[in-house]
Order: sequence, then C-alpha cells, then structure tokens
Amino acid sequence: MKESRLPSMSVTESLILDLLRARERYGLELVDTSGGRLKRGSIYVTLSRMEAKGFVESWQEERPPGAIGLPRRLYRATDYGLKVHDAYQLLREALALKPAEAR
Amino acid sequence: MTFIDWATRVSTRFLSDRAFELIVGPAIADYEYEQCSVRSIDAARARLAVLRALAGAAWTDLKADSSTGTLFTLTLIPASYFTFMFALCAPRGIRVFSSTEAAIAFVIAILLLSPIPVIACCWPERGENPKTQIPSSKSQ
Repeated sequence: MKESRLPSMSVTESLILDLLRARERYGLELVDTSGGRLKRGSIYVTLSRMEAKGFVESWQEERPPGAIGLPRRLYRATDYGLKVHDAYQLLREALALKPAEAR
Repeated sequence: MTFIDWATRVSTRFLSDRAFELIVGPAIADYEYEQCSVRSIDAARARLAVLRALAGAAWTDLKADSSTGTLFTLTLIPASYFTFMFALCAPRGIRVFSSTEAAIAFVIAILLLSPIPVIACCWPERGENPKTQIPSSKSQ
C-alpha cells in the first residue's frame, strides 16, 4: 500500500491562514494585523512556501495603466489550506489535553 | 541607482523567475506602496525587509536545485587557497595567534571571504526574469 505523506503546518502558517480566513490580504497587511507575531522580512518566504504547499493562492492586483512600480500581491486561503488548518487546530487542542482529560 | 533598482538587478542575476515573482517582487511592491502612503515608516526597517526577502529567495532557490553541493565544493577552493597562503606566510602556524579569539576571527574571515568569488563567478544562471518588463520604479 502506498503511504501518503501528511501535510505539515507550522504555527506561523496557521496564524496566516487565520488572518486570511475572512478575506484576501496583502503581505504587509498580514504583518500589520498580526500584532507583531509576523515579521516583514520572512512573511514573503513563508507565503511562497504556503503557496507551494497549496495552502494559499495569490495574484497581482489590477492597476490602472501607467501606474509606476510593481503591482502588489494579494493572498487568499484555499479550501485545502483551511481544511488542513482546522485539522491541525483540532490536533493541537487534543494534544494539549492531559491524559486524564482525554479519556 | 536607487535601492529598488539595485535590488532588482541583484534579483535578475541571482534569482529564478519564480522566486522573484513570489518573494522579492511582493516585498518590493509593498516597500514602494509604503513609500507612497501617508503612514510614517521606518525606511531602514523597510529596506531590511526587502533584503531579508532577497536572502530568503536565494536560499529557497538553492534548496530547490542541485547547485548547492557544487557551490559548497567550489567554496572549498578559495578556502584552501587562503589556508595554504596563511601556512606559507606564517611559518609558526597557529602559534602566530596571540589568543583563541584571534584564531577564531581568522577562521571566520576565511569562511566569509571564501564564498565571495564563488557567488560572483559561479552562481547558476537563473534565466530571463519578467522584471525586465516591469514599469520603472519610483525613485527613492
């Protein structure tokens, strides 16, 4: 039987999916709304990794013609990402229980 | 040359299209947006964030392809060169260092210097980047 690998999700990834649950956001917006829990320097690497895992999807914002600079990137949680997030949430809560409480 | 121009040039030379599009591009875009916005920003921290994104993208690229081993092996060449030069020029060997700290500083200097020629000359080509089509950035 072929063994399927379980997806991994770090606490930071979990937090990002929490923030993206309601609506799509920019990277900088995620940092601002996280209350210091997300760092500007590493957020883009984390988001890129999450996109590779299929947890988020992203696209460039639409801009009026003639706008200068790079278009910003918007991020949205995928259904799969939220599903894994919820599963991990349950797992973390279950593992946080003491053995007596878990019975 | 502005900071954004410099970051774009470095990305063109060292990063894959995907790493630029997903990591450095958004960092630069948010940096530019912040520069245009009315909110007060710490320019040094904003630039540091772009630099960290650059470093993260380079590391992601290195992990993704097979060039890491080659680069590491090539790094051993200048490291060996510096070590042998030291051995030739300092006949007393490690006793030339007055303290352990000085010896450690020497080793750290070799570790820092050795990757520079390798990165400059042997970093794998990452192909054409779409950022050559990017509208001109705002001057910083």
